[in-house]
Amino acid sequence: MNAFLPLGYIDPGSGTILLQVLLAALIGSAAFMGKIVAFVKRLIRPGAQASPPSKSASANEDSPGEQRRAA
Amino acid sequence: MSTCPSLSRSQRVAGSFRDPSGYVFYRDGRVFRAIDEPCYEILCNLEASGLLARWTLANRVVSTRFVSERGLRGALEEEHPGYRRFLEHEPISPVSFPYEWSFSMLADAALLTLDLQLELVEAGYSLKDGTPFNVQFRGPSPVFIDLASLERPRRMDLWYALGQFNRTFLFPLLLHRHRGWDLRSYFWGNLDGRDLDAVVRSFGRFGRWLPSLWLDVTLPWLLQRSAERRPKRTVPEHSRPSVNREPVRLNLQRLRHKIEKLRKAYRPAGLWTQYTTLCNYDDHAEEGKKSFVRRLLQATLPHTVLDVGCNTGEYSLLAAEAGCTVTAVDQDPASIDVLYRRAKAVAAPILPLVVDVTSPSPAIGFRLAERPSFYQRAQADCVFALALIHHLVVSGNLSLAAVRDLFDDLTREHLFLEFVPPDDDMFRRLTRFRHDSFEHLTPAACRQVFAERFAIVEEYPVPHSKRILFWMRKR
Repeated sequence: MNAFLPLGYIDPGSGTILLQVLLAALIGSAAFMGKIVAFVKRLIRPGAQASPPSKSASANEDSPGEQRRAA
Repeated sequence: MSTCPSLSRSQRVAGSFRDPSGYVFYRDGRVFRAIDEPCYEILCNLEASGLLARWTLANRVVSTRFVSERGLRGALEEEHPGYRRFLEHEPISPVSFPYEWSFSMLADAALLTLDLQLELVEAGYSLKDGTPFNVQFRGPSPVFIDLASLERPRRMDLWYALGQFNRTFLFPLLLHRHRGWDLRSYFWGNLDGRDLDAVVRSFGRFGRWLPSLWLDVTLPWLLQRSAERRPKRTVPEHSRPSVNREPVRLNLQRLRHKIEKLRKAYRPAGLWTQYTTLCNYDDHAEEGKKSFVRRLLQATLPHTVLDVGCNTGEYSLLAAEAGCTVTAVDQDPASIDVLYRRAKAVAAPILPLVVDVTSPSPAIGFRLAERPSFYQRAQADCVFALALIHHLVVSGNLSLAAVRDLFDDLTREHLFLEFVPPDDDMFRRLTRFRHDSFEHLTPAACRQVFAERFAIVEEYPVPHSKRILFWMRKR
């Protein structure tokens, strides 16, 4: 019976939802791949950090973040 | 709907019926909104986070308060069974609709909607609707009005209203910019905008493959067509909860950039935007006319002015300077866009609207009550009809009596009318290819016809011109 359904029998926002699902999948997989790459990098260089500390954070050892960690 | 009627009991706004979480109503000339518990909780959270106050202070959201007085709340609960929570909004008058806006106005309303959605996404919420009918203009500033249009979505990586946003904001902007579509015909054909098929067809076989249309028009259209042909296919795990906001955030920022680019690239142009330079006034006549209008404004002190046939708004700006709240209408979208930019630049209380008074916005939508007609919203204390009468008589084919009745409908008290005789240069230019005679249009005939509904208070012959300015008061 579905074969006789006319074209256009669909919510007008469907195309945009499908596109967003596609974009979410692409961005999600890109982020996932990034995590895998970071994990592999850490395996190869165990001392390496995921993101280097910023200059200002390293310059000021009494930053609130440091204090919290120390506490 | 333009002004809140003075009522002793609640009167539901006819256009507020689609959202099951609440509706708007007038009561004693004030504007209220009944909301359900989930909506109330979201608004409480937004208020606690300071977001609501920040938006209100920045004039991005209509001024709103929770109704907390015991007596009033009790009365509202009695009048609105099933609702226990109520908001009061600052009234906005006159109400306008996207088919009366210019290109830049629709673009600014789109940017406001995207900015609010971006901030809501960061806070873990989303707009239920992406429609320009949730935005009003207070002077030249867009303001979001539908505070019931908020939800906590199951999937943060999708904006369910994006399709509606595209249909009602992006597509009309693209079609106006690239194909010259008029926003009136775009929305009057369907208040919820045109669907992807219609938009793709408008861009043509080759136009649809333009890179700027790919992500928002062509690809969704192809995906939708594919879904139409496979009725059993649905979005996999469509309602799976997701907290990843990044896809929506990136997409909203991309859309924002695109609309900002469209807005900046738009140059309103056309014959009417040049009208003041084409007009046959010399500086002396122009200055005389302006000082007369200025004097009349000081004498009459109108609170609201409706400038009909405002062109690029010289006299609207003059009325705004005199302290009036102005609605300025013209049938030319480019002139209205120029005036919108001018009013915005100086923050003048002018609402410019694309309206042809001989064929104004009709009452439209569900039961013809959803969006009231321009006449139902437009009345003002004083109407300007400057350098307009010859257009109404010649191009609009209206008799003097019909013109008089039109202004009688629009004004509450005063009418400033500029009479343009048939031997005026601009009148002659207008009738170059017309065979009919307009010799019957004399100042005496004008006086006689208008006297039936108006008392002529003062006349001012414009210096170095054959025109006469009339100050009339409604009988």
